[in-house]
Amino acid sequence: MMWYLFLVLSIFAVFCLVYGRKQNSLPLQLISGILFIIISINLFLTGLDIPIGWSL
Amino acid sequence: MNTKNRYILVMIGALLILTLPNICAVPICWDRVICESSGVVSNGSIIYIDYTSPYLAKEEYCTLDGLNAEVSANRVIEIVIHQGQYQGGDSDIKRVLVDNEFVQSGGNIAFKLSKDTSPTTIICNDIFPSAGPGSGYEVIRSLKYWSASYDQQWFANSGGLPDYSYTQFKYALDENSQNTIDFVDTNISKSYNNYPATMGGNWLIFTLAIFLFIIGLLLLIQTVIGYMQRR
Repeated sequence: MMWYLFLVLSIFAVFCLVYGRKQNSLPLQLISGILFIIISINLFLTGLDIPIGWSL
Repeated sequence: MNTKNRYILVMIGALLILTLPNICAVPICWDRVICESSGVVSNGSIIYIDYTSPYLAKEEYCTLDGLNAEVSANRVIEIVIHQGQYQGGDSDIKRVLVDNEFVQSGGNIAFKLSKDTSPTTIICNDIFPSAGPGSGYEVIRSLKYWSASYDQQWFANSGGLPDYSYTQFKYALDENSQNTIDFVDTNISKSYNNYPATMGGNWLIFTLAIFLFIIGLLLLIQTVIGYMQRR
C-alpha cells in the first residue's frame, strides 16, 4: 500500500514539476514541492512497510 | 476549456483512479500501531491468511510483534481497538490490557480478523490514559489469540489453519483464562522511546526521504521567491 502511494505520488509530483516548469506555472511547482515533502514524510514514518532485514 | 486545463484535469483524474481503489481496499491487518506516548511502534504482520472464500470472507491472523517489546519494556499497556460502523451499527471500542507476564509466557499478541470486522483504528496507550485511574480492566494473561469478531466472543474455530498454527492456537485456546484485576494508580506520564519496526536497516529509504524532503523544500522556497519577483 505504502509503496503504491509512493509510486503514484512520485509520478504526480514529477509531472507537476515538469509541467509547471514548462508552463512557468508557480502553483503547479508549489504543489510539486508539497507532494515531495508528503512523500518524504510517508517514507520516513512508514519505511514503505518493508520489514527489517529486507532491502530494496 | 483550453488544452492546458484539460491536461491537468486528465492527470488529476488518473491520479484519483489509481489511488482511490487502493485506499478503499483497506488491508485487514493494520499497517501500524500508534502509541499515544511514543508514536508508531510496529507494523502488524500477517501470520496466516485464510482464503477459503477469496475476496469474500477473507480472514487474516495478525500479530503485533513490535508490541511485545513495548509490553516487555513498559510492563502493562492498553490496546484500544476501534471497529467502525459494522453493518450500519455504532462503532465499537474494545479495550484490552496486556501485561509483561503475558509476553514472557512466550506468546505473540495475535488477532484473528475478518474483512467485515477489521478494526479501523488500533491504538495502544500507556496505562490509564483513557478510562482513568482506578478503573477495572480485563487483563489477558495466558490467552494468545483474540478474535475481533462482531460479537466479541473468544473465537475457537481452527478450520483451515496449517498444522503448526493449529497447534499453536489450540494450545493457546486450551488454556484460556481471564483474570480481572484492579490496578493501583501508576505514573501515567512516564515516557519511553520506541523506534518503528521498519526503521531497522532501511537506511536507503531514509536517505531517499531526506533527499525528497530537501527537494520539496527547495521547490517551495523557489516558488515563493518566484512569486515575490513577479509581484
